[in-house]
Amino acid sequence: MLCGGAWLFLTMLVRLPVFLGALFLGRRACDKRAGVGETRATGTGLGGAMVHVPTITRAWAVAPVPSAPASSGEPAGRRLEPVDAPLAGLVLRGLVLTFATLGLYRFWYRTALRRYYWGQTRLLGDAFEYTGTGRELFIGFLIALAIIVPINLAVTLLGLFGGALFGPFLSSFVALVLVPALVQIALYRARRYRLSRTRFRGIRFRQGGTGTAYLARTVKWLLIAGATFGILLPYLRAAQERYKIDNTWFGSAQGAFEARIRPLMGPWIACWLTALCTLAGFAAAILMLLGGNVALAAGAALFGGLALITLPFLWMNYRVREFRAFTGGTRLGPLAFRADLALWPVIGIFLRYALALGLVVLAAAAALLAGGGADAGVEGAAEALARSGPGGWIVLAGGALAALLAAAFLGEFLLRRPLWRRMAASVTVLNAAALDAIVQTAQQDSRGIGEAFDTGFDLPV
Amino acid sequence: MSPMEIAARHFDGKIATPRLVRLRRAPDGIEILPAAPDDPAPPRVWPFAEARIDRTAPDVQLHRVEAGEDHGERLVVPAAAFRALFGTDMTRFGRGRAGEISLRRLALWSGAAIASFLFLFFVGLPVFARHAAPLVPWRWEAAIGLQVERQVLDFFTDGKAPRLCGRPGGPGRAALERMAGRLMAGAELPGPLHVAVLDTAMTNAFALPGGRIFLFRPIIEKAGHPDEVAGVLAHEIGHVIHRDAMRGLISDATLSVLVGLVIGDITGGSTLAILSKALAGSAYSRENESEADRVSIALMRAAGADPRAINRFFRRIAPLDGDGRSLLDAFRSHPVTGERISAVEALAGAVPAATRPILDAADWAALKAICAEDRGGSG
Repeated sequence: MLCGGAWLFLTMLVRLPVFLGALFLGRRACDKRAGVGETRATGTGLGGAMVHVPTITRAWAVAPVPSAPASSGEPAGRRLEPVDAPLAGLVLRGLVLTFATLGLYRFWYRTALRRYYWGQTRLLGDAFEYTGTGRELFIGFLIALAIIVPINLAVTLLGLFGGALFGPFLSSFVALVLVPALVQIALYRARRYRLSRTRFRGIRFRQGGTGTAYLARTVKWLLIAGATFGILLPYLRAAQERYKIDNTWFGSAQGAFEARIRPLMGPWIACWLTALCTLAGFAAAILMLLGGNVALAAGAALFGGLALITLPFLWMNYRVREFRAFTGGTRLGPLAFRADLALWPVIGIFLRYALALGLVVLAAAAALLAGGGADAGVEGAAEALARSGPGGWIVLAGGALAALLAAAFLGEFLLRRPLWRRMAASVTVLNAAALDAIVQTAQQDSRGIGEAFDTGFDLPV
Repeated sequence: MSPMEIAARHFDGKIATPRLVRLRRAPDGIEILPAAPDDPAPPRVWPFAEARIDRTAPDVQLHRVEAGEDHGERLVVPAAAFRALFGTDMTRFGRGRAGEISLRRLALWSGAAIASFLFLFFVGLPVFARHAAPLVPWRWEAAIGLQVERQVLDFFTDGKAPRLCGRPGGPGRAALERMAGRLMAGAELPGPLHVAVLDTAMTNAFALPGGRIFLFRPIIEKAGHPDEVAGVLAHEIGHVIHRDAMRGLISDATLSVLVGLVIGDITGGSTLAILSKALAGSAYSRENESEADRVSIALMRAAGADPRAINRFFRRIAPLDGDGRSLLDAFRSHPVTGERISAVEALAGAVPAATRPILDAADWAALKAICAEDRGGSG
């Protein structure tokens, strides 16, 4: 039902959740004093904002004071600014070290990427800050490995031992109920970890609430959405988002979620109906083929195929509208937000990424065919290479490694970064002057074991 | 104005509003003064050790760690000015994040994770595979066996097209079927067996998933008595009865999930997992081997043949060395140890007074000639 082809979009958006949390954040304090926004625009002659604050004498202000780039128009709101900075070195180093350490470096790599994305997202010239460390992610992973994996095996074994009736029941309970439930809790806790490691202007974010309450809401809406065959899915997603936002804090400012969901129903139902058409088309094609009517079967298959191709675009359309609606419905204390993310640039990003990925796959296949003889086929060539001795193995493994590296590179440069840029630039913080009213509240530092359950397991959700 | 002052923005970690300040270089830290020279607020000093540099471009940001805690205090300074003032002090700034997890705790959990993984590998996985294998429907296992057969045979014939000995309906295969039939008479099999002789120079035998048993040509050639071949065959039937091939597949698959978990997705975990499994070798465990030996003895006894013939065969193809712990290269997937041989001797006990060879002389001759049938040569 999730318009499967666009899973990439889904994972992309899910992977930047705090960054999104950060988007729902506030901005703009200093322009209230002395109208920095306006004066700065005139003071760029010395490459800096020496006019930043009139009380500073010109003489000692020769050194440029860091300040926000001039924002055009929108006196009441301030846009988030994605700042481009070199990323290739970070990605290359991260990927190479991740390979070299059999994957263990990935926690530090992920941390570096978060520092990058957080740090390059600016509001009124100030960057968001990610204060988490690779070590924290790593220890969360170790804990998961030490505790969760054996428990999982024990429960599975219990299912096997449990007898003919009880056993299958228990193991399907584990697979279909317990594990997805734990995943929901883990996702919520991971968001809490990331938020607690996010700061803006020195003020911390945090997330209250509990994973179980989040799970309870999810289950409730899952039942409702399931009972309506998925038609009410936007309400499920909104319920999840509401719980997250309502429990999000930036210093003393608490989040509130007031998005209207009904306007999303149109785009979602288009998606839903198209998914239905895909299923119906292919089912009809199979039935007609069994009935011997090849022409009709081809027609039905064509219909199903067309619906399938449309599906990712409709899903992107839904997600873009959802992003706008959810962002626009978010409050953070006195701050409000608006997003004007456009659909076509997002589609363009995905098409470019898919095209580039396709080219990489093609290039790999072509290289194999050139090496192993065209008539053997890709698989045959790979087999021949593997069998030709250690040299062939090395070539094959090196080629696979290169292809994986290329795909990871493309994912970062053609998917994640462009999407981040688009999404960040689309967000405007309204009433940003109210940022001045936000103070850090007393709160315990969340540094417990459980907080580190953002394990880097890459849950496919 | 002092040339040694630079402008910066200061966040105190209490309000989300920047304060404009001047910075001066103190002997052991950064001195922070109010922006307005007439501001009476007293200057404060961040010792270098408490100041951590977060970034140096496009501007410099520092955060402060006091007694291991980050209270949100920040300084944002233009990069060039910062370099001019503090360029010589760069090595004096503190390093690391507040509240970083101690190496001791890291080591502790690493140990726990490794212990847990080893426990899973050596205890959990075999138990899991043992109990999960019988739950797989035989039809699935047979389908899997058909799929892997081609690859496995290719591997053992060194890239040449694998050839099975004997003609369908020929005397060799008929003799082989009679041998298998007599052995199976006393066995409870999960499904039908397929027994074949593979024309290759290695001395080996194995059972693929789905009851597909392969004896290699030298087994037939080197055996001096039909019971010796039957002993090997009965041993393989033992693997089929215990569904050891399925156990192997299940533990391989579970292992690749586990290793994938450790390695993470980005490295193509499953590839490495498979590689590591190949390195570890896919030998049956010692326990599986002795279980199969027990079945071999039981089946041979039930068929009225000599259960100890298999030992004579082992001695024939590779005499044990002085220690009695020789590992046969040819039987890498079925390591033959002195220990195993004496266990068979003990289990087999006294040979029944009148054992009857499993095949009569005519059938034995036909089996011996099975690989020569369609070559037109003599046996």
